[in-house]
Amino acid sequence: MEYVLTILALIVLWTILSASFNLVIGFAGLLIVAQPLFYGIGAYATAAAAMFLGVPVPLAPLLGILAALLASIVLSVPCVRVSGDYLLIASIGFLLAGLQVIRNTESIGGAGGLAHIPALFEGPNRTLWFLLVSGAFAAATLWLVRWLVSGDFGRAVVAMRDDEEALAGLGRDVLRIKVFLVAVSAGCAGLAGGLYALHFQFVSPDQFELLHAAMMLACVIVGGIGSTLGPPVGAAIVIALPQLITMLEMPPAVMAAIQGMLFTGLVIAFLFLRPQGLFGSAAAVGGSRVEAK
Amino acid sequence: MMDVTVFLQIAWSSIAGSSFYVLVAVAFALYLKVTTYWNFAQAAQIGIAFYLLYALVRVLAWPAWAALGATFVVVAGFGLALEAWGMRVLRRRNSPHLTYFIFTFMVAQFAGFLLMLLGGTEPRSLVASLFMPGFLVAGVSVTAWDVEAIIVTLVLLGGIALLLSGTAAGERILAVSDNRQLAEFYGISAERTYMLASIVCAVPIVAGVWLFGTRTTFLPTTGLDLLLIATVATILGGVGSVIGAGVAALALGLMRGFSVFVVPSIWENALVYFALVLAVVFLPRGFGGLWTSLLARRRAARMSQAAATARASEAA
Amino acid sequence: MAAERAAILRLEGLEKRFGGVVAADRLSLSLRAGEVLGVVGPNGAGKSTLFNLICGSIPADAGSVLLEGRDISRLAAHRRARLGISRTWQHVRLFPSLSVLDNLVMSGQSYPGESLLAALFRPPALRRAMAQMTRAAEAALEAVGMSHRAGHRVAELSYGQQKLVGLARALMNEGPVLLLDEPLAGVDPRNQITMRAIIDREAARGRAVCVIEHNIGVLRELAARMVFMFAGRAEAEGPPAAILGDPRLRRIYFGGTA
Repeated sequence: MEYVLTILALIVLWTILSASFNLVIGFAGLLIVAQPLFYGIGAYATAAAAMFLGVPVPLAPLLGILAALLASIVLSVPCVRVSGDYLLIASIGFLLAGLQVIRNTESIGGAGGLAHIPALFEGPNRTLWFLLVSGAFAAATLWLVRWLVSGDFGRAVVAMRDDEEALAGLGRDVLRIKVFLVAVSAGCAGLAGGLYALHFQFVSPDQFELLHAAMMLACVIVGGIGSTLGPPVGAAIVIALPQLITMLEMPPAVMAAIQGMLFTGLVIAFLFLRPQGLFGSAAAVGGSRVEAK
Repeated sequence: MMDVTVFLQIAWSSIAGSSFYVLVAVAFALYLKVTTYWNFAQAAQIGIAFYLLYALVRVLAWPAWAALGATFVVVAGFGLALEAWGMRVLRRRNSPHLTYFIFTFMVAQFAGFLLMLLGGTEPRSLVASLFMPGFLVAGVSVTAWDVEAIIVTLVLLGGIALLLSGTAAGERILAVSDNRQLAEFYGISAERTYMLASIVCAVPIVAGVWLFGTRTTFLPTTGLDLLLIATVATILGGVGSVIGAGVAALALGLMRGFSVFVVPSIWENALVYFALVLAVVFLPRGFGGLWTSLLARRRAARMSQAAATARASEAA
Repeated sequence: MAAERAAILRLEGLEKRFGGVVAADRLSLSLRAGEVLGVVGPNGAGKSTLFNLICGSIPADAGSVLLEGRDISRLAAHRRARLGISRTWQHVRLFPSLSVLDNLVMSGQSYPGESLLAALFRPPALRRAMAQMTRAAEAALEAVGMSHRAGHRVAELSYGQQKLVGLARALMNEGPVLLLDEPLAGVDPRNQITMRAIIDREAARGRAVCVIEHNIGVLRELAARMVFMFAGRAEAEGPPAAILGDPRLRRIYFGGTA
């Protein structure tokens, strides 16, 4: 039972991560794959706030959100004017550089990670409580994303996805919209990181690698890029499917490899067989939309 | 104080040690130049090359030339398959660049996991002992590997330059990378040229992996690490310039070699990644691009000055 | 006299190269209040580049753009649009995911929904501003006779109807400069009459209107002044009769060589 609840909690956290990631790559049309770093910064800042700064544990994630948000602005403000592939490369560089900084900073545990983080909930039902709270945050994230891409602001976001240059020519500040979306997305990732840290009570740089960006991409692609309903389904599949493998008794190294092949293979299969994902529209993945070079 | 011998020693070792970075960067930049895609799947090719070479040389004890030949065939074949069943399908669908990134990146990750499954996670090397006896030249220790690495790199770079500038195949590659539509209008098949380019790219990849594997140890994740350095080099060298990427990779190697005097070695990687971010933001067209834009600015200034003099004389 | 009217927009020595291709070669022009300036020239002469340079979609290599005396050459495209440079595109470029009305609503000189405040709260002042925006959009649609299409998706419209909506979208910006890129191409004769009436009306209201058009017959009636572009240069400028009567320009236009 505890095991199932833990898996569900991970699915819920990854729903927050992939829904907010989708806001950036699906809606803002930005290839920023530094999401694991924002997740990690949220986790570390939350842990540090609770452990070293004496912030009450329930309020510590606020610092995580803030730190992730600031980190995203450091990346997005100089970088969003750089287009397409370059932004992707810059964000990979930012992610790896950030991870190196975490690894080399001994005061937050360095490469070994930070342990003994205080828990949000104690007692026998702590996983259940955690699931309920983070589930509420996941629902709020989905609602936030949906809200941002509909209504008055969303009208500009949708138009931006259709034709950025025309939108700018009509007087809308495309860069500001993008920076804002990236910041919201990073804030959500920071929240997910904070929640993670306060439940699992241990964070290390290895949890926020480029590989995790690939996993988030997998959630988004499987669920449907640019769809608001896709990410939770994608997260459920990408997190739960590898867990089924653990039923088979295998050495950990072999299992990790097979789990990895499973989710990457899934993404490749979706790219070719169902590029719009389970819930997406075909428009977001090409066909009708030709990117200006 | 750093004396001349130490300086020369570090310079020499860094130059030789940059050889595999240079080769991988050249493969990455060449593919990018021809197709306009950042091909992260080359990390998969690097991984396949290494573990195949390992199996052939260390396990089956094939002679080096046979192992290299067989590995080239497999790696080039993998590249061709990727073109035919992957990239070409995406191109036909008119996919956005994001899709190519996801595809090649996932192929790289998939291959990394597959190789982890087959080869395990322990570091492996292509030679039984990584100890290399050196001989002294003017106080600088030179190993047979150093000489081999530099010669192989120079020969391959020369060969690629010759292929691009002096053969019909090279002309086709350059024509397609210059202007795909125009090249197709003149009857050059872009798809076939992309295939040709991916075969050409397999040569420096296999050679680079050979040099890497005979100098140090390899992990399933090493392919992506090598490719990230190639990416930095490609950006610094200026996208579209294959030689620029090679030179930048060499410069990066030297920078890493000498950085030990300036920063602790644990910050070496962080420096490379920060350089990547800064390069994208401030020098998206590389140092080559910086040079050409400076030239353009000077020309524009000269022209507007000439126009101003013309106006002044008209008014007078 | 047209020449005595105030120049609203001045271009001074604009230059743009794409690789080896010269798209704008020391372009100097001025648009005057209340005047329709026609731009003609063969394909690839740099007409659309001219618009892109004015509105800032592409940065110029050299030269400056002055709007009512203020140098706007360094401003981003959206800033220029907010200062009152409004345009249409040759291929319309409506937003396919939005309804016709929404296409217009978000194309005013200012769009209240864009602010962060709007995204997070929705203060009453903003709601009033949005309601006003919607009314303006409905009025603009009415003006081009497309009210009955307000709730439709762009894809449901014919090409000619899209062009009308594109024009209405540009009219949402009430600034002093209106740039129209081939407004009449692909539009049926009845709607062409509507369009010409709107162009005349906007000029009469004191806007500086610049029209790129291949339909010379219509343009000579609309425009008081014409510019002939070739190879990124303004080859000649003057009254339509002089431009169209010049045998050299006619050779360029139909022959494509100088």
